[in-house]
Amino acid sequence: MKKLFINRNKELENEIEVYLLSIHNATLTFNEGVGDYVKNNHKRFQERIDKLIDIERQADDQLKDLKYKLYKYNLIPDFSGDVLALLDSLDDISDASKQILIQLSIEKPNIYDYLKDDFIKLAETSLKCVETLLGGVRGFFSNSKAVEEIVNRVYFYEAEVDKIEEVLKRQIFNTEITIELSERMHLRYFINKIAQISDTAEQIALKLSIFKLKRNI
Amino acid sequence: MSFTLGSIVFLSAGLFMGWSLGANDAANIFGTAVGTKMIKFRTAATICSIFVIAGAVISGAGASHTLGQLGAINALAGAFAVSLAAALTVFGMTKQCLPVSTSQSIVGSIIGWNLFAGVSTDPVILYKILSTWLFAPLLGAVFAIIFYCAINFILNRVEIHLLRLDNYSRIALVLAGVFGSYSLGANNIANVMGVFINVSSFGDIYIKDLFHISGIQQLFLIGGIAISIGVITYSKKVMLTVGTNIFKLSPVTAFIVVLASSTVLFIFASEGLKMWLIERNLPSFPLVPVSQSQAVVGAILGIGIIKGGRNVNFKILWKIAIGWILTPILSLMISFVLLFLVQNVFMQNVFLK
Repeated sequence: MKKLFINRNKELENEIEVYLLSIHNATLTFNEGVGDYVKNNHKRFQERIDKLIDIERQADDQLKDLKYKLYKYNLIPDFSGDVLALLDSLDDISDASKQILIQLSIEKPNIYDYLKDDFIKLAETSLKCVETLLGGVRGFFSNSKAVEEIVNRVYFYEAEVDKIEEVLKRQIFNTEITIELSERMHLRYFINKIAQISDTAEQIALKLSIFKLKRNI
Repeated sequence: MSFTLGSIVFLSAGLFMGWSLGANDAANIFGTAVGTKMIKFRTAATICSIFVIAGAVISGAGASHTLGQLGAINALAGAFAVSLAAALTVFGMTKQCLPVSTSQSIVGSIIGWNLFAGVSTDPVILYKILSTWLFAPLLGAVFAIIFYCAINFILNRVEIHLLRLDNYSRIALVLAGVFGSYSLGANNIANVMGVFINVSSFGDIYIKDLFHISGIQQLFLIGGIAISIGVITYSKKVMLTVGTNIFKLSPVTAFIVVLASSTVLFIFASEGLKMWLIERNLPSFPLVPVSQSQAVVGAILGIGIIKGGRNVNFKILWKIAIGWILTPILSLMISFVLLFLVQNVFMQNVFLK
């Protein structure tokens, strides 16, 4: 009987919060990393990559531990599927952030001066989108009424990212500066990759609003 | 009734009834909790066994007294036939997947005995019992609606973390299970051992001046143990079926259903509550064995209604109505046939003039 009332839930509650902080740190580092790359701060950019790899590894370990505990102790049996789907999707964000920085360091696309501001803005708005989403995830766990409003803000930031993405692509393909088509496509590839972070956030937000509805007794 | 081989054979019908009750009705209390793995079966079975026995021994007398008023069976062989008829009706209807209530089957059997023995059935008592069959699911629905609104009100205002809510739900399910098991024992022991009360020869036991257990309580203790054996040996399968296949309830709604149905059983079993209400000039409830399964179905329908009537399966209401009519009629007929056989084939006295 004593075992029945051991509060593993509190332990797991803290671990979920730590995991959400890891995802937040990963996107903050990603944003700083993009800024450093665009501004040609190569040494700091490499440090950001190393840090992001480290954060991502930690987040992976935390996620594995969360999954193990949720199933081993059969916590929140009627919501464990939803919670794991949510946490797994968040891992996609940190994973994508890491991959983008690594690919930037390998492929070294040339970010022209006239594109730099919008590139940074693209990363910053993606960060805002993810930060807002994380607030929504916390709201889902605490049964906050604000979840729907937060989800709406995620949609808003995602739409902003789409606008910046379009502006950037138009600037790349309509410029009078002589750039090889392959280089234009290379830049477009990275813009798509960065914009995908907010797309992922939008998909998670959609799941979140459904899970929130299911939380009602 | 001393412990002769014959008396054990006669009592076995009641024990069989107790076993089936434990095997089937424990699932109404812990089905969702065990089926969704919120509570381990071993924990549920232990809690259920202990509190069913406690409820039967401490508060079982009230509902049994009403059954005794319906038909005071005065021969051991008659009690055996009545109990066996009720148990066979439950068994047969369960096999046919028809909703069945031990309360309704025992009432039908007792009326069968009244007819066989030429004893008139008190219409006032019969009306009292029949009306509770209608009231039990209705009250189950009303209590479920009240509890649902109260819990929903609290959960919408207090921001409880999902994991903390999960923990509170587990504790609530255990506490509701304790209450449910106690109420089941208190209310339904009448179905298991009620017919043996008048023919029991268990004497009162006194241990110095500290401890006293009456003959009826000893009878209820044996019945309670039979229910517990049913819980331990066979209820797991039923719990897993209830928990995963039939009713898709969340832990919070499962708690509401158990609490609402247990409250129904409790108010129809508690002599203390009845006295308390009478002392305050409030309307009291008759002490009558009622069907827990039907109180549970009533509670689930109540939740369905408050949620806007979605997913309410009105076919279940039909099935209950069929069960209401079929169960007592079937058990009455089986009881009559069994009494005839026991009297004329086995040459046993089934009633005393």
